[in-house]
Amino acid sequence: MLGITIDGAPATGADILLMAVLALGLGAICAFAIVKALAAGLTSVHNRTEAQEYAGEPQFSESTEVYTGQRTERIRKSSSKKD
Amino acid sequence: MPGIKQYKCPACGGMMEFDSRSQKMKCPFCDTEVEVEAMARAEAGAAGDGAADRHAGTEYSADESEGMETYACSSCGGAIVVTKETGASSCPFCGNPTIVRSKFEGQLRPDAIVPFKLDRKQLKERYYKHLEGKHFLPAPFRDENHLDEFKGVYVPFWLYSSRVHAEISYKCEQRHEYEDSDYRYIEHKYYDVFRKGRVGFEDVPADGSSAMADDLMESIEPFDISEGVEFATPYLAGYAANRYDQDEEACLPRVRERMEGSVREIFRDSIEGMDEIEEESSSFDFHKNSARYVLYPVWLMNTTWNGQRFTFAMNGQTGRFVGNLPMDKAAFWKAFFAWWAGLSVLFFILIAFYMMMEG
Repeated sequence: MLGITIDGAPATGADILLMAVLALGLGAICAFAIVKALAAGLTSVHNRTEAQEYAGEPQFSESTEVYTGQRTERIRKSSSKKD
Repeated sequence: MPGIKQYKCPACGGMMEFDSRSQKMKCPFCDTEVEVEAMARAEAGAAGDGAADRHAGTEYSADESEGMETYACSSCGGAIVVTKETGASSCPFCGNPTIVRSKFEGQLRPDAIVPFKLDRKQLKERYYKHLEGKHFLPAPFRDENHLDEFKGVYVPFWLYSSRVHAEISYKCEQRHEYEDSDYRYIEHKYYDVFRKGRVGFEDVPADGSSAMADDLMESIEPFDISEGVEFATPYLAGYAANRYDQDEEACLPRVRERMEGSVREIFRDSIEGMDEIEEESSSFDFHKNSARYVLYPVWLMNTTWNGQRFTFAMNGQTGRFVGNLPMDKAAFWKAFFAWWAGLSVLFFILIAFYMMMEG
Protein backbone atom coordinates (compact mmCIF):
# COMPACT_ATOMS: atom_id res chain seq x y z
CA MET A 1 0.00 0.00 0.00
CA LEU A 2 1.37 3.46 -1.09
CA GLY A 3 4.49 1.61 -2.20
CA ILE A 4 5.72 1.47 1.40
CA THR A 5 7.43 -1.72 2.34
CA ILE A 6 8.50 -2.94 5.76
CA ASP A 7 10.96 -5.83 5.87
CA GLY A 8 10.46 -6.16 2.12
CA ALA A 9 6.69 -6.75 2.46
CA PRO A 10 4.07 -4.11 1.64
CA ALA A 11 2.93 -2.21 4.72
CA THR A 12 -0.48 -3.27 6.01
CA GLY A 13 -3.39 -0.93 6.63
CA ALA A 14 -2.64 -1.09 10.35
CA ASP A 15 0.98 -0.03 9.71
CA ILE A 16 -0.13 2.92 7.59
CA LEU A 17 -2.72 3.93 10.21
CA LEU A 18 -0.11 3.78 12.95
CA MET A 19 2.29 5.91 10.91
CA ALA A 20 -0.48 8.43 10.14
CA VAL A 21 -1.47 8.71 13.80
CA LEU A 22 2.16 9.17 14.78
CA ALA A 23 2.68 11.81 12.06
CA LEU A 24 -0.49 13.66 13.05
CA GLY A 25 0.48 13.62 16.72
CA LEU A 26 4.00 14.89 16.07
CA GLY A 27 2.64 17.44 13.58
CA ALA A 28 0.13 18.77 16.12
CA ILE A 29 2.75 19.14 18.85
CA CYS A 30 5.24 20.93 16.60
CA ALA A 31 2.58 23.12 14.94
CA PHE A 32 1.28 24.25 18.32
CA ALA A 33 4.80 25.02 19.54
CA ILE A 34 5.45 27.11 16.41
CA VAL A 35 2.27 29.19 16.56
CA LYS A 36 2.66 29.70 20.33
CA ALA A 37 6.19 30.99 19.73
CA LEU A 38 4.89 33.35 17.03
CA ALA A 39 2.12 34.58 19.34
CA ALA A 40 4.60 35.20 22.18
CA GLY A 41 5.78 38.31 20.32
CA LEU A 42 2.50 39.99 21.20
CA THR A 43 3.47 40.22 24.87
CA SER A 44 5.95 42.89 25.90
CA VAL A 45 4.88 43.82 29.44
CA HIS A 46 6.68 42.03 32.25
CA ASN A 47 7.22 42.50 35.96
CA ARG A 48 10.80 43.17 36.92
CA THR A 49 12.37 41.37 39.84
CA GLU A 50 15.74 43.12 39.73
CA ALA A 51 17.20 46.59 39.57
CA GLN A 52 20.53 45.75 37.99
CA GLU A 53 21.10 48.97 36.06
CA TYR A 54 20.78 51.01 39.25
CA ALA A 55 23.30 48.93 41.20
CA GLY A 56 26.88 49.98 41.91
CA GLU A 57 29.93 47.75 42.25
CA PRO A 58 29.55 45.14 45.00
CA GLN A 59 31.94 45.34 47.96
CA PHE A 60 32.57 41.92 49.53
CA SER A 61 33.80 41.83 53.12
CA GLU A 62 33.70 38.07 53.51
CA SER A 63 33.91 35.40 50.86
CA THR A 64 34.47 31.76 51.80
CA GLU A 65 34.24 28.37 50.12
CA VAL A 66 34.54 25.41 52.50
CA TYR A 67 34.94 21.90 51.14
CA THR A 68 32.55 19.56 52.96
CA GLY A 69 32.99 16.19 51.24
CA GLN A 70 32.65 14.19 48.10
CA ARG A 71 31.29 11.03 46.53
CA THR A 72 31.98 9.26 43.27
CA GLU A 73 29.47 7.57 40.99
CA ARG A 74 30.70 4.65 38.90
CA ILE A 75 28.71 3.77 35.78
CA ARG A 76 29.48 0.65 33.78
CA LYS A 77 29.98 1.68 30.14
CA SER A 78 28.25 -1.23 28.41
CA SER A 79 25.09 -1.34 30.52
CA SER A 80 25.02 2.27 31.76
CA LYS A 81 24.29 0.72 35.14
CA LYS A 82 25.33 2.75 38.19
CA ASP A 83 27.44 0.97 40.79
CA MET B 1 -7.44 86.57 34.72
CA PRO B 2 -6.34 86.24 38.36
CA GLY B 3 -6.01 82.71 39.73
CA ILE B 4 -5.91 81.01 36.36
CA LYS B 5 -2.50 79.87 35.14
CA GLN B 6 -2.22 80.55 31.44
CA TYR B 7 1.08 80.69 29.66
CA LYS B 8 0.41 83.48 27.21
CA CYS B 9 2.61 84.07 24.22
CA PRO B 10 4.47 87.39 24.67
CA ALA B 11 4.15 88.02 20.92
CA CYS B 12 0.55 87.18 20.03
CA GLY B 13 -1.13 86.34 23.34
CA GLY B 14 -1.97 82.72 22.32
CA MET B 15 -1.76 79.85 24.82
CA MET B 16 1.74 78.43 24.90
CA GLU B 17 2.54 74.73 25.39
CA PHE B 18 5.67 72.84 26.32
CA ASP B 19 7.40 71.66 23.11
CA SER B 20 9.28 68.39 23.58
CA ARG B 21 11.54 68.92 20.55
CA SER B 22 12.92 72.33 21.52
CA GLN B 23 12.43 71.79 25.27
CA LYS B 24 10.94 75.28 25.38
CA MET B 25 7.51 76.82 25.71
CA LYS B 26 6.15 77.29 22.20
CA CYS B 27 3.20 79.19 20.83
CA PRO B 28 1.24 77.00 18.39
CA PHE B 29 -0.06 80.12 16.63
CA CYS B 30 3.06 82.18 15.91
CA ASP B 31 5.84 79.66 16.80
CA THR B 32 7.39 81.99 19.36
CA GLU B 33 9.63 80.08 21.76
CA VAL B 34 10.41 81.00 25.36
CA GLU B 35 12.71 79.21 27.83
CA VAL B 36 10.78 77.34 30.53
CA GLU B 37 12.92 78.91 33.23
CA ALA B 38 12.18 82.39 31.89
CA MET B 39 8.46 81.60 31.92
CA ALA B 40 8.68 80.26 35.48
CA ARG B 41 10.70 83.30 36.58
CA ALA B 42 8.18 85.68 35.05
CA GLU B 43 5.43 83.77 36.79
CA ALA B 44 7.23 83.90 40.14
CA GLY B 45 7.83 87.62 39.69
CA ALA B 46 4.16 88.19 38.99
CA ALA B 47 3.28 86.31 42.16
CA GLY B 48 5.30 88.76 44.23
CA ASP B 49 6.77 88.22 47.68
CA GLY B 50 3.97 85.91 48.77
CA ALA B 51 5.21 83.10 46.50
CA ALA B 52 6.50 80.08 48.36
CA ASP B 53 10.13 79.10 48.25
CA ARG B 54 10.41 76.66 45.33
CA HIS B 55 13.70 75.23 46.41
CA ALA B 56 13.08 74.39 50.01
CA GLY B 57 9.67 72.89 50.28
CA THR B 58 7.93 69.77 49.24
CA GLU B 59 4.63 71.51 48.74
CA TYR B 60 3.26 73.45 45.83
CA SER B 61 3.15 77.19 46.22
CA ALA B 62 -0.28 78.78 46.44
CA ASP B 63 0.27 80.36 43.04
CA GLU B 64 1.10 77.01 41.42
CA SER B 65 -1.80 75.13 42.94
CA GLU B 66 -4.28 77.85 41.94
CA GLY B 67 -3.36 77.29 38.32
CA MET B 68 -4.01 73.56 38.41
CA GLU B 69 -7.04 71.30 38.43
CA THR B 70 -7.59 67.72 39.43
CA TYR B 71 -9.65 65.20 37.52
CA ALA B 72 -10.63 61.83 38.94
CA CYS B 73 -11.93 58.94 36.86
CA SER B 74 -15.15 57.41 38.11
CA SER B 75 -14.28 54.15 36.36
CA CYS B 76 -10.68 53.26 37.31
CA GLY B 77 -10.04 55.78 40.08
CA GLY B 78 -7.06 57.32 38.29
CA ALA B 79 -6.44 60.97 39.11
CA ILE B 80 -4.56 63.53 37.09
CA VAL B 81 -3.46 67.09 37.56
CA VAL B 82 -3.50 69.47 34.62
CA THR B 83 -2.92 73.13 34.16
CA LYS B 84 -6.22 74.94 33.80
CA GLU B 85 -5.71 75.74 30.15
CA THR B 86 -4.87 72.11 29.29
CA GLY B 87 -8.04 70.66 30.80
CA ALA B 88 -8.97 66.99 30.38
CA SER B 89 -11.79 65.27 28.56
CA SER B 90 -11.08 61.61 29.26
CA CYS B 91 -9.11 59.41 31.63
CA PRO B 92 -5.62 58.69 30.24
CA PHE B 93 -5.53 55.34 32.08
CA CYS B 94 -8.73 53.72 30.89
CA GLY B 95 -10.06 56.09 28.25
CA ASN B 96 -13.31 56.66 30.19
CA PRO B 97 -14.83 60.05 29.33
CA THR B 98 -16.62 60.36 32.69
CA ILE B 99 -14.06 62.23 34.73
CA VAL B 100 -14.88 64.53 37.60
CA ARG B 101 -13.13 67.85 38.01
CA SER B 102 -12.21 69.06 41.49
CA LYS B 103 -10.06 71.69 43.08
CA PHE B 104 -6.37 70.95 43.20
CA GLU B 105 -5.40 70.06 46.73
CA GLY B 106 -1.84 70.16 47.95
CA GLN B 107 0.22 67.15 47.10
CA LEU B 108 3.95 66.99 47.39
CA ARG B 109 5.71 69.13 44.88
CA PRO B 110 8.09 67.02 42.75
CA ASP B 111 11.81 67.35 43.42
CA ALA B 112 12.48 67.08 39.70
CA ILE B 113 10.83 66.52 36.36
CA VAL B 114 12.17 64.84 33.23
CA PRO B 115 10.55 66.77 30.37
CA PHE B 116 9.08 65.04 27.34
CA LYS B 117 11.69 64.61 24.62
CA LEU B 118 9.58 62.73 22.11
CA ASP B 119 6.52 64.14 20.43
CA ARG B 120 3.44 62.64 18.83
CA LYS B 121 5.16 62.16 15.46
CA GLN B 122 7.93 60.06 16.98
CA LEU B 123 5.32 58.22 19.00
CA LYS B 124 3.56 57.23 15.78
CA GLU B 125 6.80 55.84 14.37
CA ARG B 126 7.47 53.81 17.52
CA TYR B 127 3.94 52.47 17.52
CA TYR B 128 4.24 51.10 14.00
CA LYS B 129 7.68 49.74 14.79
CA HIS B 130 6.14 47.96 17.78
CA LEU B 131 3.61 46.32 15.47
CA GLU B 132 6.26 45.11 13.03
CA GLY B 133 6.61 41.33 12.85
CA LYS B 134 3.64 40.73 15.15
CA HIS B 135 1.70 37.69 14.05
CA PHE B 136 -2.02 37.17 14.72
CA LEU B 137 -2.57 40.88 15.37
CA PRO B 138 -6.19 41.96 14.79
CA ALA B 139 -6.45 44.29 11.79
CA PRO B 140 -8.00 47.27 13.68
CA PHE B 141 -4.74 47.68 15.62
CA ARG B 142 -2.95 48.79 12.47
CA ASP B 143 -5.56 51.51 11.87
CA GLU B 144 -4.25 55.01 12.34
CA ASN B 145 -7.34 56.32 14.16
CA HIS B 146 -6.12 54.67 17.40
CA LEU B 147 -3.19 57.03 17.52
CA ASP B 148 -5.31 60.04 18.36
CA GLU B 149 -6.03 58.53 21.74
CA PHE B 150 -2.43 58.83 22.93
CA LYS B 151 -1.97 61.17 25.86
CA GLY B 152 1.18 62.56 27.36
CA VAL B 153 1.19 62.03 31.11
CA TYR B 154 3.79 62.88 33.71
CA VAL B 155 3.77 59.84 35.98
CA PRO B 156 4.78 60.22 39.63
CA PHE B 157 7.74 58.08 40.60
CA TRP B 158 9.56 57.59 43.86
CA LEU B 159 13.28 57.12 43.36
CA TYR B 160 14.94 55.18 46.13
CA SER B 161 18.60 55.02 46.97
CA SER B 162 19.93 52.57 49.46
CA ARG B 163 22.95 50.59 50.48
CA VAL B 164 22.05 46.94 50.86
CA HIS B 165 24.12 44.85 53.26
CA ALA B 166 23.62 41.16 52.61
CA GLU B 167 24.75 37.76 53.84
CA ILE B 168 23.96 34.71 51.73
CA SER B 169 24.90 31.05 52.30
CA TYR B 170 24.91 28.48 49.52
CA LYS B 171 25.28 24.74 49.13
CA CYS B 172 27.35 24.14 46.03
CA GLU B 173 28.45 21.16 44.00
CA GLN B 174 31.32 20.68 41.62
CA ARG B 175 31.22 17.75 39.17
CA HIS B 176 34.13 16.14 37.43
CA GLU B 177 33.82 13.29 34.93
CA TYR B 178 36.46 10.80 33.82
CA GLU B 179 36.52 7.21 32.58
CA ASP B 180 38.57 4.08 32.16
CA SER B 181 38.01 1.16 29.80
CA ASP B 182 35.00 -0.24 31.71
CA TYR B 183 33.55 2.60 33.72
CA ARG B 184 32.58 6.22 33.55
CA TYR B 185 33.09 8.09 36.84
CA ILE B 186 31.31 11.20 38.09
CA GLU B 187 32.98 12.82 41.05
CA HIS B 188 30.76 15.12 43.15
CA LYS B 189 32.51 17.60 45.44
CA TYR B 190 30.44 19.58 47.93
CA TYR B 191 31.11 23.07 49.31
CA ASP B 192 29.55 25.48 51.76
CA VAL B 193 29.89 28.92 50.20
CA PHE B 194 29.32 32.17 52.05
CA ARG B 195 29.19 35.75 50.77
CA LYS B 196 28.94 38.89 52.86
CA GLY B 197 29.03 42.35 51.36
CA ARG B 198 27.14 45.39 50.26
CA VAL B 199 25.75 46.86 47.06
CA GLY B 200 24.69 50.46 46.59
CA PHE B 201 21.61 51.37 44.57
CA GLU B 202 20.86 54.79 43.10
CA ASP B 203 17.45 56.05 42.09
CA VAL B 204 15.53 52.80 41.71
CA PRO B 205 12.10 53.88 40.48
CA ALA B 206 8.61 52.84 41.57
CA ASP B 207 5.52 54.52 40.23
CA GLY B 208 3.32 56.04 42.90
CA SER B 209 0.03 55.66 41.10
CA SER B 210 -2.34 52.79 41.70
CA ALA B 211 -4.08 53.57 38.38
CA MET B 212 -0.87 52.81 36.54
CA ALA B 213 0.01 49.14 36.15
CA ASP B 214 3.36 48.49 37.83
CA ASP B 215 4.49 45.99 35.20
CA LEU B 216 3.73 48.49 32.43
CA MET B 217 5.87 51.16 34.07
CA GLU B 218 8.67 48.71 34.85
CA SER B 219 8.67 47.63 31.22
CA ILE B 220 9.43 51.12 29.88
CA GLU B 221 12.38 51.66 32.23
CA PRO B 222 14.97 52.99 32.41
CA PHE B 223 14.56 56.74 32.58
CA ASP B 224 17.65 58.91 32.78
CA ILE B 225 17.23 61.09 35.85
CA SER B 226 20.45 62.95 35.02
CA GLU B 227 18.35 64.77 32.40
CA GLY B 228 15.90 65.81 35.10
CA VAL B 229 15.39 69.51 35.81
CA GLU B 230 13.89 71.42 38.66
CA PHE B 231 10.12 71.16 38.56
CA ALA B 232 8.25 74.09 37.08
CA THR B 233 4.56 74.12 36.18
CA PRO B 234 5.14 75.32 32.58
CA TYR B 235 6.41 71.80 31.78
CA LEU B 236 2.87 70.54 32.38
CA ALA B 237 1.34 72.75 29.69
CA GLY B 238 -0.19 70.47 27.06
CA TYR B 239 0.25 67.36 29.22
CA ALA B 240 -1.38 65.85 32.29
CA ALA B 241 0.37 64.94 35.51
CA ASN B 242 -0.82 61.89 37.34
CA ARG B 243 -1.44 62.36 41.04
CA TYR B 244 0.35 59.93 43.29
CA ASP B 245 -1.87 57.96 45.64
CA GLN B 246 0.81 55.61 46.97
CA ASP B 247 3.35 57.36 49.12
CA GLU B 248 7.01 56.48 49.44
CA GLU B 249 6.34 54.05 52.30
CA ALA B 250 3.75 52.14 50.25
CA CYS B 251 6.07 51.68 47.25
CA LEU B 252 9.14 50.76 49.29
CA PRO B 253 8.50 46.96 49.55
CA ARG B 254 8.31 46.67 45.76
CA VAL B 255 11.64 48.40 45.32
CA ARG B 256 13.32 46.45 48.09
CA GLU B 257 12.23 43.24 46.45
CA ARG B 258 13.94 44.35 43.25
CA MET B 259 17.10 45.38 45.11
CA GLU B 260 17.19 42.00 46.86
CA GLY B 261 16.74 40.26 43.52
CA SER B 262 19.73 42.12 42.10
CA VAL B 263 21.92 41.47 45.15
CA ARG B 264 21.07 37.77 44.88
CA GLU B 265 22.09 37.82 41.22
CA ILE B 266 25.34 39.73 41.87
CA PHE B 267 26.36 37.49 44.78
CA ARG B 268 25.54 34.34 42.84
CA ASP B 269 27.59 35.55 39.85
CA SER B 270 30.59 35.92 42.17
CA ILE B 271 30.68 32.14 42.70
CA GLU B 272 32.85 30.53 40.09
CA GLY B 273 33.61 26.96 39.10
CA MET B 274 30.47 25.38 40.58
CA ASP B 275 28.05 23.26 38.58
CA GLU B 276 25.18 23.62 41.02
CA ILE B 277 24.44 26.47 43.39
CA GLU B 278 21.60 26.32 45.85
CA GLU B 279 20.81 29.22 48.17
CA GLU B 280 20.45 28.05 51.74
CA SER B 281 19.82 31.22 53.72
CA SER B 282 19.98 34.97 53.25
CA SER B 283 19.58 38.20 55.15
CA PHE B 284 19.35 41.77 53.89
CA ASP B 285 19.75 45.10 55.69
CA PHE B 286 18.98 48.44 54.11
CA HIS B 287 21.14 51.43 55.09
CA LYS B 288 21.41 55.07 54.05
CA ASN B 289 17.92 55.02 52.63
CA SER B 290 16.64 58.05 50.82
CA ALA B 291 13.84 58.78 48.40
CA ARG B 292 12.87 61.57 46.10
CA TYR B 293 9.77 62.37 44.19
CA VAL B 294 9.98 62.98 40.45
CA LEU B 295 7.74 63.12 37.40
CA TYR B 296 8.66 60.98 34.41
CA PRO B 297 7.21 61.50 30.91
CA VAL B 298 5.02 58.70 29.57
CA TRP B 299 2.82 58.51 26.50
CA LEU B 300 -0.27 56.39 27.15
CA MET B 301 -2.87 54.89 24.89
CA ASN B 302 -5.94 52.89 25.78
CA THR B 303 -8.04 50.95 23.42
CA THR B 304 -10.77 48.36 23.77
CA TRP B 305 -11.12 45.33 21.57
CA ASN B 306 -13.72 42.59 22.04
CA GLY B 307 -14.64 44.03 25.44
CA GLN B 308 -11.05 43.86 26.69
CA ARG B 309 -8.98 46.93 27.54
CA PHE B 310 -5.42 47.28 26.24
CA THR B 311 -2.98 49.90 27.48
CA PHE B 312 0.19 50.89 25.67
CA ALA B 313 2.93 53.04 27.09
CA MET B 314 5.97 54.75 25.67
CA ASN B 315 8.85 56.20 27.59
CA GLY B 316 8.63 59.89 26.64
CA GLN B 317 12.37 60.25 27.09
CA THR B 318 13.89 57.16 25.41
CA GLY B 319 11.03 55.99 23.17
CA ARG B 320 10.86 52.50 24.61
CA PHE B 321 7.40 51.27 23.62
CA VAL B 322 5.50 48.45 25.34
CA GLY B 323 2.00 47.06 25.51
CA ASN B 324 0.50 43.63 25.24
CA LEU B 325 -1.32 43.16 21.99
CA PRO B 326 -4.42 41.01 21.59
CA MET B 327 -4.39 37.85 19.55
CA ASP B 328 -6.73 37.24 16.65
CA LYS B 329 -7.81 33.71 17.64
CA ALA B 330 -9.21 32.90 14.20
CA ALA B 331 -5.86 33.74 12.61
CA PHE B 332 -4.06 31.74 15.31
CA TRP B 333 -6.07 28.55 14.66
CA LYS B 334 -5.88 29.03 10.89
CA ALA B 335 -2.10 29.14 11.14
CA PHE B 336 -2.11 26.16 13.50
CA PHE B 337 -4.09 23.97 11.11
CA ALA B 338 -1.93 25.02 8.17
CA TRP B 339 1.26 24.14 10.06
CA TRP B 340 -0.32 20.93 11.36
CA ALA B 341 -1.28 19.72 7.87
CA GLY B 342 2.12 20.54 6.40
CA LEU B 343 4.13 19.06 9.27
CA SER B 344 1.97 15.91 9.43
CA VAL B 345 2.63 15.16 5.75
CA LEU B 346 6.33 15.80 6.32
CA PHE B 347 6.44 13.54 9.39
CA PHE B 348 4.49 10.80 7.56
CA ILE B 349 7.06 10.80 4.74
CA LEU B 350 9.94 10.77 7.23
CA ILE B 351 8.42 7.93 9.27
CA ALA B 352 7.71 5.88 6.14
CA PHE B 353 11.24 6.49 4.89
CA TYR B 354 12.67 5.47 8.28
CA MET B 355 10.58 2.28 8.37
CA MET B 356 11.70 1.32 4.88
CA MET B 357 15.34 1.95 5.76
CA GLU B 358 15.03 -0.05 8.99
CA GLY B 359 13.24 -2.86 7.08
